[in-house]
Amino acid sequence: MRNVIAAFILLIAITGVSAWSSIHLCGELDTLGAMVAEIPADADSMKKDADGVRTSAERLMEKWDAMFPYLAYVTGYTALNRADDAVLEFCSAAENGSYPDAAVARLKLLDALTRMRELESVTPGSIF
Amino acid sequence: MAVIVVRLVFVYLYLTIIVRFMGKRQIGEMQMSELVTAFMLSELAAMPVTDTQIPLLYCIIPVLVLACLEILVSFAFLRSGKLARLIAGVPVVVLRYGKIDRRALLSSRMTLAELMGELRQKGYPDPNDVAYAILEENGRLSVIAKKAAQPPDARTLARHPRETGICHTIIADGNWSAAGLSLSGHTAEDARHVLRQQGYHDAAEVFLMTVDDAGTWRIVPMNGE
Repeated sequence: MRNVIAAFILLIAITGVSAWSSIHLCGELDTLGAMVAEIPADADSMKKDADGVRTSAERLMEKWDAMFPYLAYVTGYTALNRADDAVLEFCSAAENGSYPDAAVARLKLLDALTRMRELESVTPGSIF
Repeated sequence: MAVIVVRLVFVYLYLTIIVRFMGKRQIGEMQMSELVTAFMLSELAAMPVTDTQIPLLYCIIPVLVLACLEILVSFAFLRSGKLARLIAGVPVVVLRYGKIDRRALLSSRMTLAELMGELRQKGYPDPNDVAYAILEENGRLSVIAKKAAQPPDARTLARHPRETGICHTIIADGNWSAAGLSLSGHTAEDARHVLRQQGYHDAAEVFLMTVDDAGTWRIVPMNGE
């Protein structure tokens, strides 16, 4: 009987923690997505707001670095590596003033974050 | 993470239904839910070991959830006969007093050749010797022979042998067995008394000491005599 009670409590706890983890992760990914969405989309606009793009890249890198250890625990490495590559690509391109590359990397990053969010949210699409 | 848990619960239920649908013959020696758990555990445990692209938590959490599900399902089976019958099925009598129930065989998807083979393996080549052949929930066939085909026992020979139960191990390789003592209903003092009577001073001199339910003590000394 003790096993049954322990199993029940454990199951409730795991369900709770994983639901919280999923909601928290989706929230964090939304925040990151919003940060990336604020960055100008095309190379010309980036060039005009070079300082703003550089600042955004720095903030993005900081946020990503802070999130990375947690993400590594709870998400698949394939999706995580894709987003990590895109962040690095964007930040280095923004730092070097290579805005066409930065624009491409921004799109890749947005797509990677969207895909990660899709995989993490409990929807029929991600379950099946 | 939540997706993994939801997927695991879904696959567990799905596999349970599929295995139930496949019938008893596919189960082997396990209960339905045990088989499903065994399927999934092996795969879940192997996944992150062989694929470094998968976080270890993807193994730890689902295995924990699976263990919890298995305990809860087993408990639900104990408490609800209806649920147990629904998921694990019921024993099916496939042969009664020499007459094979063709419908029962068909519903269990057991062929006549399989039935005959199982009967032969149990030592009954002639179905007429069998009173009951029952396909159990775990897929094994229980065979109960007719009285005339059973080997004679003490009852049929009208003998009244003494009930000796099992031999409880009291000392094994010079060490006292607390579990054996507790099961036998004797105390360590009883055992020491028997040892002294037989000329032993210490448990270290004894390789094996047993006592059966009728109170017969047996001692094998350490020197093997």
